[in-house]
Amino acid sequence: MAVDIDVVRDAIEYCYDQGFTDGLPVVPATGKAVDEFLATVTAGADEEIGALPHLNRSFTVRTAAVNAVMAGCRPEYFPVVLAAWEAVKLDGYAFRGLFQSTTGSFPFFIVNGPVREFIGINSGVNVFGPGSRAGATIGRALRLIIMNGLGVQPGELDQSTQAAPAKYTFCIAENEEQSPWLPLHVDRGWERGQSTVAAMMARSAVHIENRHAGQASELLYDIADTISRTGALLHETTSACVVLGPEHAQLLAREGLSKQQVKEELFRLARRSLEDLNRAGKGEISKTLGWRVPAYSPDARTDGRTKGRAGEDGRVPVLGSPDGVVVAVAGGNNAGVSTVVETIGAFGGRPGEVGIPEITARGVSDGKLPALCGVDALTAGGGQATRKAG
Amino acid sequence: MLEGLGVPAAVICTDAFRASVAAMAKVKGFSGYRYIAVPHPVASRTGTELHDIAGQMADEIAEILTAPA
Repeated sequence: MAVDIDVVRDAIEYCYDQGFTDGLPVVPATGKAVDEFLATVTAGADEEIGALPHLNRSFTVRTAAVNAVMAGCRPEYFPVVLAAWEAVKLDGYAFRGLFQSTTGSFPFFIVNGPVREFIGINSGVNVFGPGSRAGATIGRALRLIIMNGLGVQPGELDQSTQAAPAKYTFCIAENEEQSPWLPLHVDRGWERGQSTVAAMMARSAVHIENRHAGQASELLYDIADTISRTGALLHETTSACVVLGPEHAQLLAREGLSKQQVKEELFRLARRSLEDLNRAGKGEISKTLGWRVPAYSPDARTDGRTKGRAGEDGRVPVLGSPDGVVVAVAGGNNAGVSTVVETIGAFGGRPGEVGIPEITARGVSDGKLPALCGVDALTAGGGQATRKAG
Repeated sequence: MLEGLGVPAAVICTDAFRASVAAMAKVKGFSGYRYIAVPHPVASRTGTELHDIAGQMADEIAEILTAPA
């Protein structure tokens, strides 16, 4: 079948004109493609799966499918996209205004279980980088769902001051095969053969270089120092997902540390001195929102709370508990590199986590470009995408 | 919103959030909603500065609160 590629280009431009994109080109969502995606899930197309009542917005499974198509997903990724969205809803912080907040936070997804290999979500070399379709497009689908389904568009209802590059897409798989510990989902009671996706609201991803340390204590100090950097401290305490490269995880495990012991050590070590906090204008806690503020702020507490939390060495813990840290393993087993994903959830909340239904068949693609049927406007007020008959 | 329930209300934000206020007002079906924009920022100002700004806005706030529905 001959295809006029300019028609495809026009459709892509149409999507830009409608404000559907994240700035990068999207795959125009045809009726056939959307139907293929909907066929991979048991949820009904018209089932409402998300809402922001204060914005009068809600969206359905069909809207999620339209956005997954636009993000570049294959049909068999769609169950993961839906599970990822359910995990966001379980996060506990996402719906406290974070989609619109000046921090510009965004969901970070970790996928576990057999689906990683089945659809090819990268867990190894270049895990946070480009080059792997499944993770890249699933993460992007969630961003497009937030923008188009919830109607949170940048510069309007999304008030992010700067946001971060990972806001485009932020989905990885855990490197279960090169982790010395049980996978993240097994820690939480899931069967190893069950696929899951965990979601956390994140702010940034900070790189840790430590290629030469030979002792667990050295590496733990380095990671704790990154978790406790003053710039990370918005509230009284912070939280983080420590994504250890396999080499780092194996160094810790060789000294007999369990994952729980790593979390406890990081909680013990992640502290800042009162002097450092004051130097950064964060020596007190605000009365109303519990943010870190300077002592001279009109809103600063005057009950000596921060000083009271300091240990004998004058240092204040920056994590609320060992559960303020989630530990996962990902990346190539080729250097001593890890990442601290700085999350929102200052009180040590657990990530939301949802099982992914078993995907038994790959989506159908005949390799031909179907006739374009267009996607009409995501209607204001309803947030529902509908498609025109093709 | 509050006004619809018979409760006088005045929205105050900093001028950095004009685009968000406009978008929110549109979503709620109140395009052109009148609100008070104070100079940005708030978080890093001293108590005295905040007090001064509040004083400058007081008349306008009162005017909005007492305007006929």
